[in-house]
Amino acid sequence: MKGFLLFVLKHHFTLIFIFLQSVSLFLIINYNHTQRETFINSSNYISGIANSKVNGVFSYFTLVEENQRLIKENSNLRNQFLKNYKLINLPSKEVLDSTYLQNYKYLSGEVIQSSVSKTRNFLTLNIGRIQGVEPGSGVVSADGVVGVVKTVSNNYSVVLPVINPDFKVSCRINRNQYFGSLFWDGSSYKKAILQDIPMHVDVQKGDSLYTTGFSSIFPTGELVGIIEKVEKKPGENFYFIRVDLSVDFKRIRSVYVIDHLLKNELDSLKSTVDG
Amino acid sequence: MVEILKNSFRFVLLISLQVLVFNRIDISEFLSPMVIVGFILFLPFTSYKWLLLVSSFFLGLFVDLFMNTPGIVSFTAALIAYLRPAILRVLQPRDGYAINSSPTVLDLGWNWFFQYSIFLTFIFHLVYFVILGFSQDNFLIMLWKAIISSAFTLLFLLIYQLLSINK
Repeated sequence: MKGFLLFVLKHHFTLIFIFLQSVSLFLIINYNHTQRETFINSSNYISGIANSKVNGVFSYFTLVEENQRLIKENSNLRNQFLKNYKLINLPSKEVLDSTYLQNYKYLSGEVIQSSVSKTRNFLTLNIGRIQGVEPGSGVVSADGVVGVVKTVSNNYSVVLPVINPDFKVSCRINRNQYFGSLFWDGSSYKKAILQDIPMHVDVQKGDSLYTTGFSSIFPTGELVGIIEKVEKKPGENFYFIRVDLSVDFKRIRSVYVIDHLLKNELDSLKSTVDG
Repeated sequence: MVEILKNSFRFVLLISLQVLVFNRIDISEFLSPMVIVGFILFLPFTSYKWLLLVSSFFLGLFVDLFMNTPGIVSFTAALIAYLRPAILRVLQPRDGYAINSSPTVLDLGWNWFFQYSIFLTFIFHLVYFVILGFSQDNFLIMLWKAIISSAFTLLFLLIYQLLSINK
């Protein structure tokens, strides 16, 4: 026993070091392998308040530009609001008022903190559980797809944006309806990579990409980006396609969190097939 | 007592600068300076070794809290704190460190400080970027990120020292 105590006293520096590194490793691994809500993220109370105060100052610099974007978006929305509704009864049955069942609901929020040049980028929004945000909801802006809500606290939420290597979304090429999977390679906040498009497909620079709606996170037909460059790599069966993202993450401010009202129904139907 | 106050103040100041100013620099993917390494570098020679480790760990954890990177900065900070005594031993002048001196330009000169701070700052950034970009970035990119960010951090630390001398 005395020998053990002496050993601990003599090597306390290394022992504390090993203990602290184990705690850090536990945090790193736990965080990378699960989507569970970890205590340490910027949706928590203290950092949420600090970030929203600082953002209050910075947001004045882009006020004029932001207003113009919102006006433009309003007019766009007025033209196309039927898109968010889903046909429930066949048109032949004449039942008034119940032809359309609302499928998606949009909650508006503001980005209070964001990064574009880190290896793992995140956005923090000023809306949270009380306002109706749930983890796993899609986030879009006037320009297109932004990301997926990762964690929520009562009044704030953290979004995993397109420009994070953990994010993936399936997209359809508008011109020929082929779809592939889009991910971010960490090179620039304006670009992403589209994969799984086979060589026989006619893909051209300038084709636009829209969400497929397969995952029940995003509605069908949200703009993701525009194809910038198509490369053929020797020995591969698929194209290597560079995409110009439609959202400018450097000046993103107003976003909409999508609440998929029929998500549970869709998921339980899918699970009867899978499991 | 004065030393404890001074270092606690530096702890709070550097974390605030890190999360409110330097984390918001969005100039390039290659520039994310971690100025909090200054806290570990400037701790006095006489500080308890366990306190050195524990305070550095919490320094990193506070920054993690703001950056959505649980564990990564705290891991790096504790590693640098663990390496510091060994580096100090290697760089020790022939007659040892003077009593009441601290690891700064003012007490030990430019030459000594550069050797000391360049090594620890660079290791800090390299480990940080390697864990952060694990299995994603290639090593050359990580290396460039570490070189550019540490150069910026060193510049900041020098200015920080010049300002604190005048006080």
